[in-house]
Amino acid sequence: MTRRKPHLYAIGFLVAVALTSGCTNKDQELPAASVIKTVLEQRRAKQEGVRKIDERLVQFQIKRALASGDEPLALMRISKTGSVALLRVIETNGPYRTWAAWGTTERRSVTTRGDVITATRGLGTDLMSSNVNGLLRMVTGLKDGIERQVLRHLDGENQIVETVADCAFTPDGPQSFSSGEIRTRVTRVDVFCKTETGRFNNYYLVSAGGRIVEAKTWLGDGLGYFTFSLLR
Amino acid sequence: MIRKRKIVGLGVICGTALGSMSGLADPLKTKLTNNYGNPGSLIDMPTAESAPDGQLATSVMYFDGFTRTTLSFQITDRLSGSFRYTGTRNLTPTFGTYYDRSFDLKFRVFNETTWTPAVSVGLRDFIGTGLLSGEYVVATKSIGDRLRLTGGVGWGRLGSYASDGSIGTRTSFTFAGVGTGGNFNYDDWFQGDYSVFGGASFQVTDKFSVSAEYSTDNYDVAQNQDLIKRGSPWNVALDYRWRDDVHLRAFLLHGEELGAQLTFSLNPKNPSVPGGTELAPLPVGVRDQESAADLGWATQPSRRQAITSGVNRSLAQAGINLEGIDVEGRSAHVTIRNERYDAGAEALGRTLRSLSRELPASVESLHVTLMTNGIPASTMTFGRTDLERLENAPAREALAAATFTDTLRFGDYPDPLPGTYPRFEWTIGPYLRTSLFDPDNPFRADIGVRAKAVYHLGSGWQVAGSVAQKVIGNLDEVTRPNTSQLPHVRSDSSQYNKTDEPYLENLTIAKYGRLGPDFYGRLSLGYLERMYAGVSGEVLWKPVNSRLALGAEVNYARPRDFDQQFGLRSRVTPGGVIPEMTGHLSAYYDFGNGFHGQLDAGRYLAGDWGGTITLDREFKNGWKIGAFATFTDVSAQQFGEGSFDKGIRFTIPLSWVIGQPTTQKASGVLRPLTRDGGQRLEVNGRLYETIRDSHRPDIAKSWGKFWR
Repeated sequence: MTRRKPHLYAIGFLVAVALTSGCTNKDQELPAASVIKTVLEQRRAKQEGVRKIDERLVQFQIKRALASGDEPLALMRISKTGSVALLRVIETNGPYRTWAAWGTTERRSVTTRGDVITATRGLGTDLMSSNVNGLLRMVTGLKDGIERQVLRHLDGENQIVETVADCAFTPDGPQSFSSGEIRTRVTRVDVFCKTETGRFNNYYLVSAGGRIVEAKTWLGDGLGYFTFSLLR
Repeated sequence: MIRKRKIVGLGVICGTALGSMSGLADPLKTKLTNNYGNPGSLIDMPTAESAPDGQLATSVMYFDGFTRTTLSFQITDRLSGSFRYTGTRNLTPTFGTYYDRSFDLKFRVFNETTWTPAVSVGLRDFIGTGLLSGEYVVATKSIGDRLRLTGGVGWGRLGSYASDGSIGTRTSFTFAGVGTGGNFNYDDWFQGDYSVFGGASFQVTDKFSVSAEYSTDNYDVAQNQDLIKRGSPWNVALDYRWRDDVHLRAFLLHGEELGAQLTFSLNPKNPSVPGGTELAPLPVGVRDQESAADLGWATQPSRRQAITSGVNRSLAQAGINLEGIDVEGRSAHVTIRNERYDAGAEALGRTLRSLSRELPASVESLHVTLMTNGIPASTMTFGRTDLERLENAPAREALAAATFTDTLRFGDYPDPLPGTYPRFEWTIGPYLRTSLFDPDNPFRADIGVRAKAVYHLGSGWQVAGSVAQKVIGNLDEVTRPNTSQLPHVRSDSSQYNKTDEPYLENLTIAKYGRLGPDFYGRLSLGYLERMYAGVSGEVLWKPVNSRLALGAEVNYARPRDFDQQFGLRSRVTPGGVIPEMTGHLSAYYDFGNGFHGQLDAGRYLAGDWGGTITLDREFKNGWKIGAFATFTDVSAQQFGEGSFDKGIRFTIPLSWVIGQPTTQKASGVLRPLTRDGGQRLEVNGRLYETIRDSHRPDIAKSWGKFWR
């Protein structure tokens, strides 16, 4: 997900010795041991590659979550890491819904509009915000054409940088879709996008009622592709 | 031979001017450095290439008794600067190894176009002894993606072989003529003999590149001492990119000398994880519009207590300390202490989101005052409706909705909550102290243990101290006699490293306060630093939305005993009496384009009067790299080696390394020499750096993190 530079390890250790403390009663001060641990953990995470998650376990968790109540639920798969997360809505702001892991208090979240991810938080190289109005109009209307999408990230100096993508929307034929409690016929919309520096391909599965029940979307170089599937 | 060389040189020039038939390459960037540590893909000769903006490279080169260690920084897209420390064995009979410090600058005047080359002008060793001094105008043109051709004209050392002509006169380098060194020898720039040089570099694979050059550096001084044979003017090199920012080079100089160079580089613009890996903030709590009219809560004291507890808990979870809170029917004002987020915008963003979730729906105006050293530094006001409306909009829209006000102009601010004061903080950790560039041993260091404590007595009142104990090191091995002609205000620093007992680095009582709108004050009393004790007072004028600040500082200080216990020593030194009073007027200006300037004028520790000019490149993620120079009424002769005080300073934020928000950072100063002229007291908690992080210009720099 993130390209780590070798010199950072050396700097991390040097700074840890020169700058940080061994121990402290200050809540916000990072002791040297904590700094070294963070650097090593990041290195290990990078080396782990794509995780293999037991699909039976995923299905078991989905059943448990669905049985526990009637709140909105979704499943998110991250292609780059192989991670899978079962999500519930923790806040709603107008058309936007913020989702976090079901059954835990882990502070990582994604925000959706029309069930398309528009922002992430706590995942590293986060998607800060995006414009999806045109995209939603094209997808839910099953339109064939070109529309612009904007993704915003932070650069190395904490400045917002925009990735502008020109996307071609192509509705495909109908197909069946099954996920959690949803069993429906959907139309697949393939989207081919071109940015200044590269390309990405998304798809959206749209129900007859115009609801996007599953979307595989590219969220930036750091995050890669996320698949967001509604379960209810 | 000379005629043949000229043809080669002209050929390269013609090649660079006319030879390209390919399209324009990416701007002529390189992460390679030449044998002088300057950005460039040739060997001893310069090129018109630049490193990527902000690139910081450290290179170490060695061949047959010649060592060059260079720190090079791409100051702007066009301008690069280098600081070099060289050691040459047996260069003079006086020293076993002759050490020398030098500075370079290179400026790209013209960018490369489809048909014309990039052109740069450079000064090598323009402020030093002049041993390596040379000036050049050089052109480089890329042909395709792999080949780069270079041709140029050089003076000084770069014009020392097979001169093509001469302009004016130039003083030749002699050891006797070095004097105190460290002066700008601008009379000699682009003067004397000049020669045409040239070369080519070729990227063979992703990992390997080769280069060849026609060198016009005759190594006169080394040849005179029979240290080097110059069988040919041709140099060749093979570069290997070991990792993205680590390059190894093997080279052959003049067909005789085999050598190697290792270059490490990094770019402050590239942190470990852009945007950071901190956990998600709370989402904005969106109000039910119908409940916004309900003020019933305001009549329930227990509800107010619950609000305070809720805000306190929520902010603590975000790593922010709540110092005070006032909640009225339609507005709320909190004072916070941010010790976690190096991006102030992130602290404010998280505070506002916590408030949105904890405050009654009737509260519309949110005011957040940032407290620094117990004093209010600024107050930001944000409408709650705007907070709800802009949560998913671009960050710039939130910046437009935020208002920053001087807290004293804003009005009253909440009293400290019970438990805020008194507060005791302590830290125990390792320390590393270094001494560089001593000819007897260019690198010395002590490693030890340091215990620091701060007792916050009340708003703005602090008692702070630091005790250290050396564990291992050799800083006490300095034996060079101190011959300074000035009062020994810093040149006796080695005496302070000789103690093996625990020593008191500082112990002060300080009061920070607001003297009025836009004005801040500090008074520190006690053992101010390792070498001086006394009183230091400071006033700063800094409007909350201004990039300009003005300050004044007055100090009364006396030298401490070398053992750094509680005693003071006599002010009488072999170079004169150390004065008690020093002080400065200072102006600070953030140019807003990544550069920050500071001017200080006043009386320095040795009683000398003058000024210091400092220019920093400040990256928005907290990295700072800058240079300073101090000119006082002390003559170069009185000052001694180096002629005047100068150096490089840097700050590295720890968050850049670990990808987690923290206000911890490493700062340091690299001086070619520490002498007695142009020296200031080192006082903790100077106001400008304490206050500026809380003001709008600095917070706006990292506003992208407001919603992070």
